Amino acid sequence: MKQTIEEFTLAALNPGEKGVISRINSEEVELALLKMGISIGATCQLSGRSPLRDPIAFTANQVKVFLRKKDASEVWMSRLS
Amino acid sequence: MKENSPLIALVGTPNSGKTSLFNVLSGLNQKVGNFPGITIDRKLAEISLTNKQKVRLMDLPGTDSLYPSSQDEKITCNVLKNPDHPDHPDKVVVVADGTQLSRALLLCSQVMDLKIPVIMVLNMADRMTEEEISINEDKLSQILGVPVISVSALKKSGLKKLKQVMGSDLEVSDRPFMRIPAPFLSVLEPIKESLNTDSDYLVYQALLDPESLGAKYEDLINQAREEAKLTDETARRLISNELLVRLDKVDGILTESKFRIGREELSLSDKMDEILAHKIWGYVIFIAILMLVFQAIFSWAEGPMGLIEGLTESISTLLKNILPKHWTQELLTDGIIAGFGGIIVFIPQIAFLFFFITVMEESGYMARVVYLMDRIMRPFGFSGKSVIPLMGGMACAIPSIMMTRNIPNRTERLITVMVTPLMSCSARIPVYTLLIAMFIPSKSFLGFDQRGLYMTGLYFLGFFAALLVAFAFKKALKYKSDRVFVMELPTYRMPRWKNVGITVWQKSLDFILGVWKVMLVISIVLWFLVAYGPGDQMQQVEQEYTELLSADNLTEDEVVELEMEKGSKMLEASYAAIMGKTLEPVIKPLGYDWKIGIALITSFAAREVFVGTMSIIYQQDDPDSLDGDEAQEKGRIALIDRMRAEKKPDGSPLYTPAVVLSLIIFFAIAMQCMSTLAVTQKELGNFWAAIMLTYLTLLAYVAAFVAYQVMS
Repeated sequence: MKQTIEEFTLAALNPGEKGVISRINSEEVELALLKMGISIGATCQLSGRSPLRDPIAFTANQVKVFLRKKDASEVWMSRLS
Repeated sequence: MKENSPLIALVGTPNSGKTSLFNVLSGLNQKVGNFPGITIDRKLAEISLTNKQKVRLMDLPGTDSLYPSSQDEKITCNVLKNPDHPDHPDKVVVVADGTQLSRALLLCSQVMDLKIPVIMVLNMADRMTEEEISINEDKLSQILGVPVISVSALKKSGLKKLKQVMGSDLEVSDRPFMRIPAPFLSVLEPIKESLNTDSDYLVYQALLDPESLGAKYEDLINQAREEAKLTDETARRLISNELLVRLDKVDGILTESKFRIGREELSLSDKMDEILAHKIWGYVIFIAILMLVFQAIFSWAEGPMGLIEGLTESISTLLKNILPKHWTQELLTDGIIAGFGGIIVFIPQIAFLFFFITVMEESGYMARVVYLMDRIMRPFGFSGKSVIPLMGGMACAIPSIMMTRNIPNRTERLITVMVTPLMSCSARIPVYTLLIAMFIPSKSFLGFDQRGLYMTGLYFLGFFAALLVAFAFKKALKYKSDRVFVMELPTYRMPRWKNVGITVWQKSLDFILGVWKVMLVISIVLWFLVAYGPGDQMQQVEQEYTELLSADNLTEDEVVELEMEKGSKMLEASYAAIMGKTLEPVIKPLGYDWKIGIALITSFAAREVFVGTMSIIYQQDDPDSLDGDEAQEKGRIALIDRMRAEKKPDGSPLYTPAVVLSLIIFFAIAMQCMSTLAVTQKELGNFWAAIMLTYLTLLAYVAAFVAYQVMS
């Protein structure tokens, strides 16, 4: 049986949508988020949209942060079930 | 302050309310100094606990973890991680934002593993209630093995208990949070001995982040790194792993201590962001706030500035009247007091600007500005955080350059520092006012004062020059913004006015302390260069005019005329004139003569000195030293009339529009501020200070040259 898991990056999330971080492709981004207390498995909710969709603001673990789009594209998410 | 009373450090994540707690605990006892060698504030206060027990309390810059990512964070890490550091604390109070506990516990667990006694403070207890966040404190304290105290710095609750615990003997937990990877254990032992610590983790930290211990242990650490086959690459991976393990453990602790978040819906803060960080309204509001700030700097600050000018002038006049006429009296009044007056007159503008910046930071709004501006600023090699120093640069570059320290990326910080002096600071205003008035009539254009429009134009010129130069630096340094930039958007809160007051006071003090030595020396040197000359030329002039003035039949006007002539002849015989004449061939292509040369030399100390020097050269009262707006305007007109009458050797007027424009451009760009240079040298070192001086001077020269040649 094949199971497909819908995967997308943090940069592709729409405002208000939620997702769970499944992997982070850049070690640097991973470290920067870890320092803020955000790790794989954390639920992220996207905040409003900035012009050009960059930077990207989201809330995870009660912390609201923003990341540049380039960095947010390294953060892969799966849909919250 | 007794150096041997115990030292307690406040440590916390940014925005945890740490500084508020420090202010509440210390009142106005605090002494702000610098950490040795760097200009990061070191806030210290001696406070009394119970039973006449005294401790020293230190506020350290906020940090997310013990692995620093900016200059500010580095100092906190160095102090905690290096037992040899003179500020290494005896105890640490970890201040946690009660609404972001996992983040706070991450930091707390790291500090605990350093085997420094820890007290954990749950700050913002009032907000926890508001957001229906609850936790069993006793349970948390029991699991962690450290005292946990709920405090609200805002409502001043829990402080008594905190003080009591701060004074008691604290045990160091012997259960490390994290197990050090086995291959490292053997190499740690010898270093532990020489560092005189029993914390494995402290030494492990030193291996992963060798900078924290300083040069003394460099060889030892490098040797151990080699032995354990540790590369930078693996070090980074180990750091990630460590944080992951800690976060995992923290999660478990939170569950065990019954941590619950009651509310799920959007908080007020999120609702505010829907407007303040909106893709259109956000910018509209930011621009409106900027306009308010300008209004404050230019209109509201005028009153206090006039008062200060009047005051220095009266002190100077008073001293001139009561002290005997002697060179020391002239040195005191024309040199030292004039110099100090020149500094403190800028305090109102600087205080206003920092008032706004601090309110914006305290309230959490500044992070939204960074969020809104980051994308726009990035192509120029800036960070969103550069907006703050650039705004500050419109009052004064000195404190603004100090504010760049929280920009984590070194290149972005460097670029920001390099272009901040191009922003039109308040010291340029008197220069611009004089020069614009020389060839622009005070007429209204579309309802605006024409001169005001030119002035505004010069602010834009400064801003665009900053953008262009930043872009050039970005290209020259081949900089690509490839470093990760994460920033918190903290919950909005009412600014604590006490914090705002303290910060404004400290920034104003920073400015005075940053410039007074330079200004004092320069004022004395300038006074000497103008008051003395080689050989006995000056005495000859003096003698000649004493004879002329002693004639009986002189009218009052004639006396004034002769006095002025004498002054300008004396100046011509001074050392300053020699310097101006030496400089003349260089500045001739810009349309300047040796007299302007003198003013360029003197205004290297600070731009506004230009106006004062012009008045000395042309024997008029310095308009900025006169009492009252009307008198100043009159003084300015008198000086302008005199300057307009100045002729070149061939009889044509010296101050053509081309020359005036060339001067304006020169002052818009040139590095005419010793103190900015001094601050840059402190922040970035000799090399970058030299680069700044060179590029600004060359650019100013070329731009002024082009302006003059095109116009004439």
